[in-house]
Amino acid sequence: MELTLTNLQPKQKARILRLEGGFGFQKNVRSRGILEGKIVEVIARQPVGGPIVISIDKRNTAIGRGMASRIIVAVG
Amino acid sequence: MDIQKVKKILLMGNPNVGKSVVFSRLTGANVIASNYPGSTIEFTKGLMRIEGSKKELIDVPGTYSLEPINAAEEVAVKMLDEGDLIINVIDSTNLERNLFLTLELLQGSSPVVVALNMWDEAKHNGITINPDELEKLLGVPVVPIVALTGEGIKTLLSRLKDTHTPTDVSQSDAEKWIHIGEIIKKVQKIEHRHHTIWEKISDATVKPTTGLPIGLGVILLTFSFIRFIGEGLIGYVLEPLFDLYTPVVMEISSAIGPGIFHDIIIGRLIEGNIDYVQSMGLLTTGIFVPFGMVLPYILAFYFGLSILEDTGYLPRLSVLADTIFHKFGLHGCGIVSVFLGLGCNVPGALSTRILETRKQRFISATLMAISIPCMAQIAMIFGILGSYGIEYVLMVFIALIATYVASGLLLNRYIAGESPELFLEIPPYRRPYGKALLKKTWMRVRIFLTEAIPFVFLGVLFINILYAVGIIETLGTLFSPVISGIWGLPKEAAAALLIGFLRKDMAIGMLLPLGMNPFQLVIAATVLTIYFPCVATFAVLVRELGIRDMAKSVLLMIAAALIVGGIMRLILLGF
Repeated sequence: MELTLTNLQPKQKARILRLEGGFGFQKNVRSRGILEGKIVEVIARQPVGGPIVISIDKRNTAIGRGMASRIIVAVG
Repeated sequence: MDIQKVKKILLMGNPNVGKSVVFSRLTGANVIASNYPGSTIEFTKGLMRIEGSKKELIDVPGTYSLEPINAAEEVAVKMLDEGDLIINVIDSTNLERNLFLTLELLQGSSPVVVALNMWDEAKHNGITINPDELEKLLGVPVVPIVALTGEGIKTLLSRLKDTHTPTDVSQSDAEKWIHIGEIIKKVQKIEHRHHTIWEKISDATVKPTTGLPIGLGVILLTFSFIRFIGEGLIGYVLEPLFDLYTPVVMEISSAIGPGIFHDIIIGRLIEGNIDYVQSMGLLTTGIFVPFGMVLPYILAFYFGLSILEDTGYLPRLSVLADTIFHKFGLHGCGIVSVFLGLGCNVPGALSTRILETRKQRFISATLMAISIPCMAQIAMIFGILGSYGIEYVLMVFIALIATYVASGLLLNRYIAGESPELFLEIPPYRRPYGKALLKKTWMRVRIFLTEAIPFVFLGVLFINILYAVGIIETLGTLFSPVISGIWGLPKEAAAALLIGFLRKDMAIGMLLPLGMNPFQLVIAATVLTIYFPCVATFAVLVRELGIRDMAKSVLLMIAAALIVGGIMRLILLGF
């Protein structure tokens, strides 16, 4: 099932399918190791629209919800 | 390549891969290194020797790619053309992501050597990298190192000559990522490891339910620690030392005899005795304020801050604080300038460079200049208000926090521009390295000693001259409508406001002889924080913001001082 990163709950894992956004956004996100094909796990969601903490290859990154909503993932 | 022709060497790499530690190793110079992305916001230059010849080594701020996203990364990309050789420092525990910048660098015109840093940590985490294979695939020397212990540094130096000007390869970003994927498959093996205790702690400190209480606890603990150490050092070390010093100064005092010279060197005697805060002489107040009152807190603060920095806790705090800081037009990284600013506003102002937009940098710098007192000032606030009761000290802090929040909400509304979201790498927790911790604390304390003390002396000298020629009187009368009329303070407080531009800690000390009640002291201490930055901070802010934005910022500071001081007067003193 296709979801965005914002739809995932803590402890949920998914595979990154694609990034939706401009060239700059895509480059910025990929240069942090958030790449298509990677398995991403949500570690925490900060309340009231705060950032999401994700883990890829055991590396944690905090990312705002706006950016996270442009990262498309597949679960299961 | 001919190493003798190389003059400038750049250290480049992703943020938080240990470039500054490598820099210290290679040059023997001391630079501040921490465990969070963006601790180096400006390049640092140093000298190193290779095969007998001197080279300039430049520690460049970290960048994820050659497309800068903030002011610190811009510095990095601009430096690129300056170097004859690039040492690309890579975090071995995170090879894949780091290789993107490596491939970008290999497309440039400077020869590259790759240093695989944190080699020990990678091994520990079950990551095996084949450096020889990686060297073959990249076509440039690859050397595993552990910068913290110095392992591999000699080999790194001996391999610099083995690199060459890159052959012209042009790859699109997509091709680079495919290339990286192939490289990783060939050179890296990852053994599955179970969650370590540190990873569990890491998760607990970013989850809101556990992270927020832990965060509050850490902040409270840090500040109690600072106060405990600060007060302890003053009570048990510095006061006894100054008790021994007093008879010496008294001897000098009677040897000099009364006159203007005595006023400058010793200051005024109060009831025949030296009063270290009020006398205002070079050998009395000029020595006592920086050493006897401020230094102990500075020491304690920087030790505490270094622990927070080196463990890697600060980025977690940024994540937890993000939602609040968004209300001020900032994001979680704004908390870094608050923390650094609490030590000294100068590094606080510089740290705004890790923010992405002009709006964020303006708001963050202005809020810090308005409502973050530096540790020297805080020490003095404790010094003069603490004796009346801790509640008075708290009043100052509550007023400043309220000012920060109110100004932040307003600035976010009225300053045009964008406030991007938080996008921050959270490094793994690392055990602080005792020696590095002490060295870093000492480096920062030394900056305080070398830069603050001349200003304190200048202030003492200045104030004596100004009193002697009667300028303070005139200024006091001129500004009495504001000082007395709005803030309810004696007009002589004009002298403190004037000296506050040189040193805020001294200015706070100057409030003591004015015979104010504790409420007036609370107002004066708050106003002194808000009204204007000290000259050192002012100079850095002009450079960081530009003259136009700085002028705007100064107007905001003055307005905030008038309004906040006025409100406090109404609340604390009545009409």
